Amino acid sequence: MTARYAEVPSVVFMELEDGGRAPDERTAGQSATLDEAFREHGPYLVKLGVRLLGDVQDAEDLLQDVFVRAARTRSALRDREALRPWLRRIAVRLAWRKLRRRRLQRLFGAREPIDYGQVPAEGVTADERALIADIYRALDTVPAALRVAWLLRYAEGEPLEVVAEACGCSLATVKRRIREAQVALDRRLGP
Amino acid sequence: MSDSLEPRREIQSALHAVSTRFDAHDAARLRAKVEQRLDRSRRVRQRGLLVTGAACMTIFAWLGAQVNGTPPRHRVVNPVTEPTIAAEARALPDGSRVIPLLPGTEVRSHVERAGEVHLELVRGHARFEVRPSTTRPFQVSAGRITVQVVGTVFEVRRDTDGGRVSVEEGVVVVDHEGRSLRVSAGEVFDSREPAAERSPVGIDERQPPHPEREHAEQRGRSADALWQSVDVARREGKPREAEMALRTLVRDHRKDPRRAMAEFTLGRVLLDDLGQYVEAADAFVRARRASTSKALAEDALAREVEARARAGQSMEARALAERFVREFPQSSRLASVRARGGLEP
Repeated sequence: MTARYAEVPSVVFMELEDGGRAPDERTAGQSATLDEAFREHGPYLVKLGVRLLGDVQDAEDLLQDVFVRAARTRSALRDREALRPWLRRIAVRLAWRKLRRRRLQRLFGAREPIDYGQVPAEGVTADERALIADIYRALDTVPAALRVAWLLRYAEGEPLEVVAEACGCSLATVKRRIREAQVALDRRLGP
Repeated sequence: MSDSLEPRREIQSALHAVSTRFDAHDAARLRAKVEQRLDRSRRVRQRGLLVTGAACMTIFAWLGAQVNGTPPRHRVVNPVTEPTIAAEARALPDGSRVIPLLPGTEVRSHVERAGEVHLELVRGHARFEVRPSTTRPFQVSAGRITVQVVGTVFEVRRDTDGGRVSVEEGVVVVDHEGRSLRVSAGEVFDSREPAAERSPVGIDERQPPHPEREHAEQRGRSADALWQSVDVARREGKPREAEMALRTLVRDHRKDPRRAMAEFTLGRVLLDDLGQYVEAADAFVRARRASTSKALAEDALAREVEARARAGQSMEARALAERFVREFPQSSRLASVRARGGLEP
């Protein structure tokens, strides 16, 4: 069992919340302020959000949630290399929650279905755009945990080990989730 | 590592194309939103801490009041270690009240429960308002004096050379030197008086010889008629008659609005005409307690200082004078009170 994201930052942490730099002797170019983290990892997290959620507005909300959550832990990763995986774990966890909430809202008629024809994609044909919309509509019928694992693997192209770490579960669980998601999508989209 | 089941190539390629632009403007906008949310959550957290702190303090204060304020249902007091009643009036479990009348008054509680009360006046002067009960023994001791009560209002004063019991309502039995004396309302027992000179019921010798008989003659008269008698007696220079009429007034017309004035007039008659200084001081105390007028309370306290001083109770006079200075700093009587209370150098 891998650690959950909240347990991860065993490394650094200094005053992300205040947006200030850590003392020079501690940082030596290794720690990240909120501004820097935003600049460096914001684009990646927005893209990840769009791919997981299929909606730009939700992706931007996700980005805010990630940084608010990160700031509340009142620490800053000393090791910049560890910052992105940690933020990704937070993002995946929050996206998973958003998807579950979205499904409940749809169930009770509290939310309009998302227009997946508007999913931003660069350099795609009309057929490809239609295919993307079909894929996301099919993914809406799949449980959130399966959807997230499948998208991390095939939309993000992450190795299974990274997907497992991001999802906070074992490799075997990740494989099973991806396979189940694939079977469900094949049923909807055809093999 | 590879998957046994993979999506079609065109699906993967379409998904890889999903992306969005995120420029510096977007970053600044979202960064500002994050800052706003963090500020808001900080404020909410601070408010939550304040509310939680206030709630905790309220709960602790309430618990403290519960623990300290609950009267014991059944309390037997160790006579040596038990703290004493002093300084302010105190209600007993049976509804009776003990009111210290002099600074430094000390009342020790030996037994204090619904079925039995035994108090000791260690020093000073106190008033006891005892709720009537035929079954519960209520006992107050002051040195060699022991007072048994059924239901009454009386005062006990303890001095270095003896003690004094004055009864305002009802009847008490005073045990002193192996004798039991019955003291009724309006009567005073003073242990400092020689036993031979004391009346059979322990009445102060300065009282009229047959106060009960005289009181019986006055009984049934209206308050107005009694006031008239007081005026006539004082005009004719018969202070003893005025005293009896006034005692009947305060005894039989307790709810009369002029009761405080009657007590005050009684104090003046006792002080100025009869030379009964201690009695006079007690009357002024009662006048103060019954008074709703600040002016009368001021006069009564000033005269009480004078009565205590003339009775040779210099400590009490001084304490009362200090109290007068505190309570009536603008009074025209201030100089005379200070002089009588021994506050002047």
